[in-house]
Amino acid sequence: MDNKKNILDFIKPVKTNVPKEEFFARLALNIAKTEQIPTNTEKNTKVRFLTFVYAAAAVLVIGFVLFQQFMSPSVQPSGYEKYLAKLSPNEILEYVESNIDDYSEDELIDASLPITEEEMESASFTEVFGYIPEDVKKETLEQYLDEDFINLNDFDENELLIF
Amino acid sequence: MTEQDHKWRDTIQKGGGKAEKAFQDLTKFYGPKLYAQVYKMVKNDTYTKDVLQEIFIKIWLNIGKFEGKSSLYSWLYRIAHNEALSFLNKEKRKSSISLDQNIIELIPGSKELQGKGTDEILSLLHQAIANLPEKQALVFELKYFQNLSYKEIQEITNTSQGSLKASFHIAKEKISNFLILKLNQSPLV
Repeated sequence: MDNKKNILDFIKPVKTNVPKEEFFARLALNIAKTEQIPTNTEKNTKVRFLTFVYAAAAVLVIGFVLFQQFMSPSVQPSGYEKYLAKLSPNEILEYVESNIDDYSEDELIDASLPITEEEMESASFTEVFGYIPEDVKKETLEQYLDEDFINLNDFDENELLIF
Repeated sequence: MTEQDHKWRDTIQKGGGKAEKAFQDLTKFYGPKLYAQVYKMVKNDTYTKDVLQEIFIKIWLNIGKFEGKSSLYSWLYRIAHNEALSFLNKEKRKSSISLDQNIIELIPGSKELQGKGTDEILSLLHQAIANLPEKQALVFELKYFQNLSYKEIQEITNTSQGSLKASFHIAKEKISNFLILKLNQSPLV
């Protein structure tokens, strides 16, 4: 054997006698006629139905969110504050005069004045603010003191007056 | 996947009269190649036609699912190979089938092949091909057995001719080594 030759060079494939073209055409036609191809119709129907369902759901969700936003009062603190800032003190007084009969003009003017440093130093909490907030319970205060390791015995009477 | 393969697949997927025509064209184009491939394994015209029918039923029913990541022919080649194997294993016909025609001829001049029968060599060839990666097996099938030109194989597989030549060369070397090993002879130099 020629050493340079591959063993496959000594194996010669014989050309297969392939049926004529008509055989393949007929085979294809028979298969196409007898075998029900899983058409896309059913699949497409499912896809279309699902698309419709998803779209409807999306519309409902968006609609619900918009409806809720529309129904709830819009809170826009910045807009509200801006509006108040534009009002002059006289306008506010006029409004108060015409709407709140229970308060005198002097009381309202006093209440609107800023607290001076002297007042802060000399006055107690209740003198400045006039009250301890009602919603603060005794237990809450005690808990606050405990958590911050504040012992009331460490304070003198004047210091405790704010309470 | 070639442009034509895309057209066939898409048209068949849509169904209707055009699908039948597209399937006919596809079968006429790939049928002879698959017939030759299956015939080498089944070795009998009637059985080959039976297997071929199963192959094309599978193609008809499933081509819509073929994503086209590889060439259409490599998908068909795999289906054909599996169907032929399934046929042989299921029916245990491997040994009982009589050859209608020779698939290979042995050319005198090789010491290794002296005294060997074509059936034995063909069986070894099948084993060797079965051990190849799919792409190499496919190229070997088309080039060696079906004697297609690289240009024709390129059109079917959508692979460059350089790559095809390399695949064929590697496949040939592997098969040659396998045959020599199995024939219990020293490798050729």
